[in-house]
Amino acid sequence: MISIAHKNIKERKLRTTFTLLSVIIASSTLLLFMGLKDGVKNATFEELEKKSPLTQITVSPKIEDNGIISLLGKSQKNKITQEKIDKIKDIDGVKAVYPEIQFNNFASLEASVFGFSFLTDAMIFGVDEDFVKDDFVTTTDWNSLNQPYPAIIPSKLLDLYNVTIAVPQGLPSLSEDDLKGKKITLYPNYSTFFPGFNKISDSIELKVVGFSDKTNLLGATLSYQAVNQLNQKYSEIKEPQVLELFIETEDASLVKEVADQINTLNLNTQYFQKNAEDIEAKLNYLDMALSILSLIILITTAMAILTTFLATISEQKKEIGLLRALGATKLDIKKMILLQATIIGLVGSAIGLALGILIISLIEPLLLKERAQTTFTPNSLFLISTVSALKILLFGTVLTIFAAYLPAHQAAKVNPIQALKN
Amino acid sequence: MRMIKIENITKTFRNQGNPVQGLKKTSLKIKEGSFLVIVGPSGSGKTSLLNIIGGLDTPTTGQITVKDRNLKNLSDKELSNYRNNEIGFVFQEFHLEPEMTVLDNVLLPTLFSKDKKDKKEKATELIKEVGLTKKINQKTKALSGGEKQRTAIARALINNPTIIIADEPTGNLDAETGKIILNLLKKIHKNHKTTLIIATHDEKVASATKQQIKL
Repeated sequence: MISIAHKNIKERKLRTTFTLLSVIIASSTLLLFMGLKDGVKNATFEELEKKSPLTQITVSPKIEDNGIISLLGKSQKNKITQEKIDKIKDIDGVKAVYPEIQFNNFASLEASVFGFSFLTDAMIFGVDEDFVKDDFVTTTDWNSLNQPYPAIIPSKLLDLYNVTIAVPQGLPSLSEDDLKGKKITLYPNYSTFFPGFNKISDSIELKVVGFSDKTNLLGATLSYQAVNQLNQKYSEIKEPQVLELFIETEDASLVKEVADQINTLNLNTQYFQKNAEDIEAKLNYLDMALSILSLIILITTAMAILTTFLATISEQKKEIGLLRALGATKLDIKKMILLQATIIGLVGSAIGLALGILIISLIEPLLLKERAQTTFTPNSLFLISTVSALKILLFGTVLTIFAAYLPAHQAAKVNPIQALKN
Repeated sequence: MRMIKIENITKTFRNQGNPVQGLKKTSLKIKEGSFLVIVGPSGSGKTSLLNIIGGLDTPTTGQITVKDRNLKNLSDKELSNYRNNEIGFVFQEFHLEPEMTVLDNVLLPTLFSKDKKDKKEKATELIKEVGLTKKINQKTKALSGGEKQRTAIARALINNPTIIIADEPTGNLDAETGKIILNLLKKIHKNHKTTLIIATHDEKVASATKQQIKL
């Protein structure tokens, strides 16, 4: 049976090639879609996990209750109090609580790189050493109150600078190495946006000691003690205003449970699993769009295969009649046609798979090169697993068999007498 | 022993919606191992009768019983098995697979039979018997008409059928080759003790046996 199916495939080279092409195009396109969908999802979650470890919860006052003024530390309503912090510490599963305080006034930072000087408004945050110690890239005494104060820069700030300033203005891009150990000048109570509020022109020296994905994107992070000292000297509000809390849980599985208890204190919580759900919901739209495109491709391919097989059956009628005369049952004929479809489907999807991988290896470096100019810089955009490859092989083969079923059914109904007469 | 019993069978076809009688009422009894020629002009129903005996077609009315089995009552699978095991067809147009070798053509019916043991050896023997050993691995598209019909005869014998049905077996051959093929069929009938039924309009072929049915 296999030899007859093979012979039929070989004898009708043009039709076989046409059917193979349909399967190859469908398989390689499906592989690209599947790889892109999985790749983007994987890259997004990797990026998210970098920023927010699985055991971490970020706690903030509810913005709908407080508004932007509270965020700047001016409102006393519903803020994160020591009482609430103590309650959180008592929750089962909480390993550590790291408050993030802020400098309670305007501030600007000035840095000089590649001969250019930048002066911009920024917020100054303060955290415990334990929260950022993994991010130090230079040996430092984090709690030192001598100038220059050690400072951590958010990694994303570099990306933002490179994307929004360096590239459009043709300036050199900045790397962590360019800023490591760099001196930055902090001007407390000084704003480039609101010059009317500027009071004094004091300056404080900072030194970049690390880069972090966990710290606040809006400015530089210093030690808790340093920010306290700045508040004592330059702010009207002397007490530490806790802007956010970073909670470390004992285990990733406890995150949701702990977050639910924190929510009862009228505080807002953010954690990886919750963000992941939101992002996954958004990624589902991409999934849906690719699925619709895939469906259109599959229907078109199935129609092409069906048409080609119908034409092939028409050409093979005499042979089918002969086989029927020699003892082939209707089922044998159906099997023979479906075997042809299986061979074409398997070979076509295998070639499509190889072609898809080749296309990905050619276009992925180009796409990643483009992405290098943005803040989203994954290692890969396509993810092809063994399971995906097997799915493509199976799908290509099943699709061909499915499309060939109607022609096979028609072939089985061929009247041997009529067929042999023709 | 009566092997084939045909009782009042007719065959009516539809031609553009109009009924056309392909085979008038016919009754017939054929003994096992006999050599029978069905003669008649074109359109007399010879091929229709052979197709009905061969299980390729069913009669519009009447009964056909082969080895006590009513062919009308057989399922597609049973009828296919009947064609595969009991019948050996030899066609006027040979109906060979041109891209396949003589050996593969002869082996074609074995694809659908349960007993596949020693079939290659059997095919080689049959090819020798029909005088085509030298061309055993040649594609049949390269053979002469006589050689093609020899291949078809070997193919008809591969599953040890009890009935050989030959529809105008010499119709596409020149007189000399036709004579050789007829003698080969007679030899096969004698050696393999098969029932041989030939349909022809050729009087010379018809005279090869005394058992003649005129339609």
